[in-house]
Amino acid sequence: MKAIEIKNLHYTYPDGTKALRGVNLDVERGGSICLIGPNGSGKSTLLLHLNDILQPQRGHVRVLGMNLRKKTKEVRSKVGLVFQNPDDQMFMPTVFEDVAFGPVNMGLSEWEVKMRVRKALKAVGLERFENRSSHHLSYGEKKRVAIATVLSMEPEILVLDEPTLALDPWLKKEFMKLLKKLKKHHTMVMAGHDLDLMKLCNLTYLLDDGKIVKEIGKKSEIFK
Amino acid sequence: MKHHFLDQYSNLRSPVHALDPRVKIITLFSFLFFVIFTPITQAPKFALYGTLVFSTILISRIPLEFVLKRSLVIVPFVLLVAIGLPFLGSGDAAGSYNISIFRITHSALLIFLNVLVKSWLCVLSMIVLTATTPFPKLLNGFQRLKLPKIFIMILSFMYRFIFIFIDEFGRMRRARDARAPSLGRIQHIKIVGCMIGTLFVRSYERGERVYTAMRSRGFNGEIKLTRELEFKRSDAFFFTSFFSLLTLILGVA
Repeated sequence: MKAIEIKNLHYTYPDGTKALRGVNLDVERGGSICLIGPNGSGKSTLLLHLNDILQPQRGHVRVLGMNLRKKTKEVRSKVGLVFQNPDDQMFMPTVFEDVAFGPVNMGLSEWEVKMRVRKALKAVGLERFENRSSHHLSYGEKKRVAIATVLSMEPEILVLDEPTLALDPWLKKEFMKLLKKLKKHHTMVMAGHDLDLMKLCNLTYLLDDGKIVKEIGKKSEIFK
Repeated sequence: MKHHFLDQYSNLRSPVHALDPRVKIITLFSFLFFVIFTPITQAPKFALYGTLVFSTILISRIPLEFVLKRSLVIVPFVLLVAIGLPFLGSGDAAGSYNISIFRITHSALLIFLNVLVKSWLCVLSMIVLTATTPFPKLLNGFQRLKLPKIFIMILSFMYRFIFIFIDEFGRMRRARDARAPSLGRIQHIKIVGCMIGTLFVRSYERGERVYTAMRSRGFNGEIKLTRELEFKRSDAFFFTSFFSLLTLILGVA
């Protein structure tokens, strides 16, 4: 069984923008892929399909063999989607409540929610941040908490949109280390412009104008 | 950027800070009830209420200057009542307070004092509550006291995003100043109008993105919140003694 199977996926926004024009993509369990492409190439739209936030207008998406429409709740607990801007991902007043939001919605007991929050914060190196107000965190800390908010749901697949966006070189280095660590236990799908992300992934695809144009081995192949 | 105007002193350490927010909320509402229902003619009782509030402020270690400055929020409302004074009340004129054709009566002055003293005491006590309780804990207290979840959620979002909007507005203002340093008043107002419009659109878009993030973490329209509180002996002691003092003040002839 594949982690993600996408066949001939099409999506057009209500304003007529054709975001995806027949995407085909398979991701093996435990694998990691990187989607590189210019602005407006359809990367974020594609990622939103993996969590059933957007539904295919043509073609189909299967996650861990599941039909997304029929098993939305299960799919959302199996696929952790981390958004570009951590301020969109973190909407509760404290870090604890933000990280607990997913597990609470999964209907877990209070004790289990607490355990999961602790584990997730430990995984991103922010053990003592539970009671901190979200708006008092630095950008790098917010990025880490944003990942913890999905780790607490213990997903099998991690989907990250522009994970290294707006990080300075030092923070980026730390963040890449964290992603490398997370890669060991998750199937990973990353999208962005940062070519360094390629180092973390088994496969890299170039997305352009709503289609996967080619598989890339080296950075230099992108511009050919 | 870090903002502190909502709960600047809420992380100090004092016996008042350590209280359970539910106790503080219930105490506040009892205090408001006592103040509002005490007739304004019984001046000594108000002096005692004031003493009670100021003692709490002292114990809580919040700077008095901060509390007094914040309490100025009532000024516009009190001024509004003051404008209406010549048209309020009936009975004897209040001596030298008469200004040309306007005649201010004793009862009108009492109405004014009623608004001034009671609203000031109420605002002071609310400042003590909000300044000694971190906002998330305050929401926690209200949640445990069964305030509808939808209000809690709205207040949570407000607390989380108000600072982001302030920063966003600050950035827009800087961009405006960088390109148009000296503007006439009319032009200035026009541009501020446009900025508010832009901020509204950006907030709306952010709302959409936040909702998407909520859905992706299993939100299905039902609000579930987890927050824990602990009722301690000190909480019981505080509430009992404060309530007894209030009753005692009310009983003073």
